[in-house]
Amino acid sequence: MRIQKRPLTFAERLYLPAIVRGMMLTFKHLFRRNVTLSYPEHKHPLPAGYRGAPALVKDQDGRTKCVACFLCEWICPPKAITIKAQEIPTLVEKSPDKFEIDFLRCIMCGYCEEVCPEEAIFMTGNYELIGTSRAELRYDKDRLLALGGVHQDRIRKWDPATKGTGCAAPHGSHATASPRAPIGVTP
Amino acid sequence: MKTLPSVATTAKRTGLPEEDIQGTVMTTTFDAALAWGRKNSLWPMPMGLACCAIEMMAIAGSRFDVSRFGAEVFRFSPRQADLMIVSGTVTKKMAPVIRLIYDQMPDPKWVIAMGACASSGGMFGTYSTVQGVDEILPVSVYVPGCPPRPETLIAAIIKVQELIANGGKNTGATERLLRAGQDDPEQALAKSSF
Repeated sequence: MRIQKRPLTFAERLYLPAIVRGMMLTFKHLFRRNVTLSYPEHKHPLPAGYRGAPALVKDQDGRTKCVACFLCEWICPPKAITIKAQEIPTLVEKSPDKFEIDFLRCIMCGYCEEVCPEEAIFMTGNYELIGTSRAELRYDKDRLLALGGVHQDRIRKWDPATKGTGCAAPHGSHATASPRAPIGVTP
Repeated sequence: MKTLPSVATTAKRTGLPEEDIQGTVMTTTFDAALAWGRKNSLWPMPMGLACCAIEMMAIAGSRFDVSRFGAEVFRFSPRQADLMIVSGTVTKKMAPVIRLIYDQMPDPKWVIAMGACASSGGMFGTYSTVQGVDEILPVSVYVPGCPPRPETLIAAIIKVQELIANGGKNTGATERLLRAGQDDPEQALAKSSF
């Protein structure tokens, strides 16, 4: 099929109106809001439910909340978590001797936070973990606790008054934080 | 950055009075000047293998704009690139191709393993997946995440720039030293310049 070319109008042949229209679009962008985020100086505000690197937390008395129940290790899809339990002579009886997260395996799915019955592991807003070796990104218990910080806890499982049942002391005494309180890294 | 000669040293070497040199002449070593040029003109080789590649493309866009760091010139020819961004799952079928492309890149070169899959195999602990691209080529910087945010990749690029400025972990040189039977490539690299 032969395509019939439409003859150009005078304005089209003049060529300049098209240039002007194009340049108008170009110059319009000069006065628009700058979209570039100057990253290392300014950071994007993260949504409240953002899942960054998972981290262990301590309660307000400085105790590791994790009781080494192995649920997170069990549910972790890429098998990034390794736990070794130990017995401790308190009401809580068990705690992690070794708790490692390989952040190079971790896919930040948040299953560990969801499955944890003790509210001991949380997804922080930290997305800036990079390293020059694999070992650098295999976080042990101490580094994970440092990453997670302190979580204000309502459950007083360490308190002898509740005999380790986990029932809270009088309401309102420690109920200051929401379950997803910002920990360590503010989103 | 390497230690630069002081004004006093330069005055002694050139025989010029110190007050003439102060504030008018900038002294540097050749290595430092070369590293400065290299770190601010990284040309990445986009090795986009899976979903991480979408985030890698985002850093070239206007929002994250990696040209602020001089690394916006994505080269699809390995012979013009010096930074390989391996972004995505490295399958065993793809591994020889990645290795070939890496070998075609001229020295000095750096590699970023972007995302869980490229860094360690991630959730694909399967028969068909290479468990980390560092099994087939040396990696300078590992980036966790699934996928990492574009910011995290920019942080990795900044880290590579730091490595270049400090004259370390050029993966081509690292590999040569490993092949030559050096036990500790980090230590050997610290002694040698690229």
